[in-house]
Amino acid sequence: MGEEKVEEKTAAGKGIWETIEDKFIEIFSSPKLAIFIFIILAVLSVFGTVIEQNREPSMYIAAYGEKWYGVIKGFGLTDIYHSWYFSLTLMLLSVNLSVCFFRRLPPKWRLIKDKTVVMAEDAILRQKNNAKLNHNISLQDIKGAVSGLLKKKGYKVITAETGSDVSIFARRGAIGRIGSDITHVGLLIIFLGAIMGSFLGFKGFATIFEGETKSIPNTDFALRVDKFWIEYYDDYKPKDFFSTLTVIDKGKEVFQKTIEVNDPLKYKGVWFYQSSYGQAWDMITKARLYVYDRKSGKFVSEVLTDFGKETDVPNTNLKLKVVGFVADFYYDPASKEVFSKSMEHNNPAMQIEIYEKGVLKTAPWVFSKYPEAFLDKSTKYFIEAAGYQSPQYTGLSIARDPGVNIVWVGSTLLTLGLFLSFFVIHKRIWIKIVDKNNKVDIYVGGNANKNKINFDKDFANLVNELDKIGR
Amino acid sequence: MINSFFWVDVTFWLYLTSCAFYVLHGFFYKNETLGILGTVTAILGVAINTLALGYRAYEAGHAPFSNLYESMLLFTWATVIGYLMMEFKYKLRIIGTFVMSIVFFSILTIVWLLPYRYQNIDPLNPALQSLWLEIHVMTTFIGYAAFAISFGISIMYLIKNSVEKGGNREGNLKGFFARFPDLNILDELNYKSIAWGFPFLTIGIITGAVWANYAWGTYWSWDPKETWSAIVWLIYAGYLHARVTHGWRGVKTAIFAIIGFLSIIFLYWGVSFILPGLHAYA
Ligand code: HEM
Repeated sequence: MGEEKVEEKTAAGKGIWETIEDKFIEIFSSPKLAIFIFIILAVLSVFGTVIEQNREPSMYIAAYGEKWYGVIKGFGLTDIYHSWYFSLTLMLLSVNLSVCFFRRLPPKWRLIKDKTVVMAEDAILRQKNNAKLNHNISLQDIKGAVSGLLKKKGYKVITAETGSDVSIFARRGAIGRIGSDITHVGLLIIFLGAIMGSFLGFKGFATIFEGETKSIPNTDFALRVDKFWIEYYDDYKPKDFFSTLTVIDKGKEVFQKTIEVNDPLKYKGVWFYQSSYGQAWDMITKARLYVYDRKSGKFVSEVLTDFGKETDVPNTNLKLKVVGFVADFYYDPASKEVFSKSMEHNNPAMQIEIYEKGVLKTAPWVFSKYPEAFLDKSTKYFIEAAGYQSPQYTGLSIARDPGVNIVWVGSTLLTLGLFLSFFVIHKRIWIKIVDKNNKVDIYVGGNANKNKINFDKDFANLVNELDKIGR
Repeated sequence: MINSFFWVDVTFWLYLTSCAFYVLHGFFYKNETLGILGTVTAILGVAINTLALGYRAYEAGHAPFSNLYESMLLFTWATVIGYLMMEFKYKLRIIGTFVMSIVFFSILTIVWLLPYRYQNIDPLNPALQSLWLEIHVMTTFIGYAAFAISFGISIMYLIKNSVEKGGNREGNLKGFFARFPDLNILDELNYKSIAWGFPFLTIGIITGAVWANYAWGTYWSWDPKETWSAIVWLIYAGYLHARVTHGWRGVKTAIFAIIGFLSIIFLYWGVSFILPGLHAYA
């Protein structure tokens, strides 16, 4: 159908650009395209839930094999929601929505504003709901009662009179017609907010120790963690965790807030969320060391030492100093460096400098879980790492999203539009009362754009009540 | 000992009884008493269902929406209330045979089929302690309930339609089907239920996003549950557009609504058990 229209226009002397423009508008104002786009989005989304997203390559290779990983990766299926084709589909949806909106609103607006009061008798009887009544009352006596009845039912009523008849137009709920448009605009606004968020916002994560001050990337201020603690249920499952944070801007303490899960801190548009916690993986504050005589295996002494502080071992001429710590020991033979393989305390180890009579003898690594791995023979002592205290850090998610409020505005409009469109129903009733020498004929017709079962009942009631007037 | 499990059991038996009365009334329609008994037991059932939820909340110290067991109780609760409102308004008791069957099967799954560990009262993980969560779950399940009702009505539509087409098979069952409401009334009620479900599902998705934003700083992270809720949402948006802009009616929209509800079952049960992600708890 549209095809011919375009050709007609071209024939009538339209330029190539106008033709393209017409075609464009024609395609994009079509609600058919909308359903097509829904299907594409749904199918792509299903892919994204079946194939795990944004995981490390080794996981995909394990699951699908090397060859299929290449294919999956090549098609962008490992991050489908950020692939070009997903974005393109969302863009098409937005264009579709916008064109639809501008094409359909004006005629709809005219319908809403329409106040055609006078309608011919046969036109009234062609309405979806209609009836014809007659009464033995004069026109003047009945017209007030009829419009009063409609007003009582919540209709806005307009009347027009000639000498021999009265026309009444009653309407309500016209605003419901634009519910779907408000929904569509709300959705566009949500997209706008999401786009703003992805271009102007940032997301990050920081681990900060109690007492530590960290400057926050992408901002000009710093955050200090004054205190961090966890509350537990009776069965030792964590119930909630808290961080007392102080914002430091240009060297000055600006304000302090204790955040917890579900209660973030906000400063200069940046939000800080309590998201995790853990123990330091590269640092301890205190260590407890046991010293034995290597030959006899006899316990000699116990030392409680601070990190980096030389401490005398009672009953000996030794001094010990803890100079290093890793939570998950790993020795890289290439670089000959020790580091922590993970943030978990899987294989905690500390490096201890051993001084005998003030002279540094060695600095072996001592393993908490494997004390027998202490092989150092430079002194006659055997040292065991009995325990340690490592500081706890709080894990903060950091987000700045200048689009988020726009998303909420869009969501509100979207929802509001739904309620308007489903629950505010446009009902129109036309009545014509025709004078027949102190009798009247009443023509009633009407329709509703939705919920027709209910309107059928309402209409039947109305006709009933009209019938009773003056009887 | 009287605890929430006891009240859930009572609810179960009441829904079973109510379902039986509705079905009997479907066959022996001249006996109005059976229908009234169905309605009365449904009302009683929903009252005890409320009590069970309340007891559960009292025992747990938080709103009873934190696991499958509890959310299923919320589902049956919302579905029965939704159905009773509809019965009150349209006086079409025969729809109760289908809706109460759905309710009965739902409560059967949690009372008898759900492994015991899912029935435990668990302490709330910190991220779940939020008023937004409560609003999110409430609205989502009102939406699910409305879609469940539309599912029941759609099945009735398809049955009635094929019986009308199939012509003159005789017998008790035929009489039963013949008493289904008119096809266009079923179609309109189907739309009406979805017109309730869709806004509530929408609010559910939005409040979920608000909650996620408060807990993690991201309102949408494409986890499988979120994504599936968007898919379900798109399916019902498709239904609405097919109906409003293409004039689809009858069989096509009934099938659409059935697909919609099957996708909800997947969203609700399938995603939690089959797909990995954040929403593993409910
Ligand atoms: C995910 C995206 C969309 C959603 C959630 C949505 C939602 C809705 C809703 C709720 C209605 C009202 C249905 C009813 O009254 O039963 C509606 C109607 C409508 N929509 Fe959409 N819509 C979307 C996209 C689109 C697009 C892209 C178009 C573009 C062609 C479109 C065109 C229409 C039209 C023409 C109507 C007819 C009803 C009227 O004019 O009032 N929709 N939409």
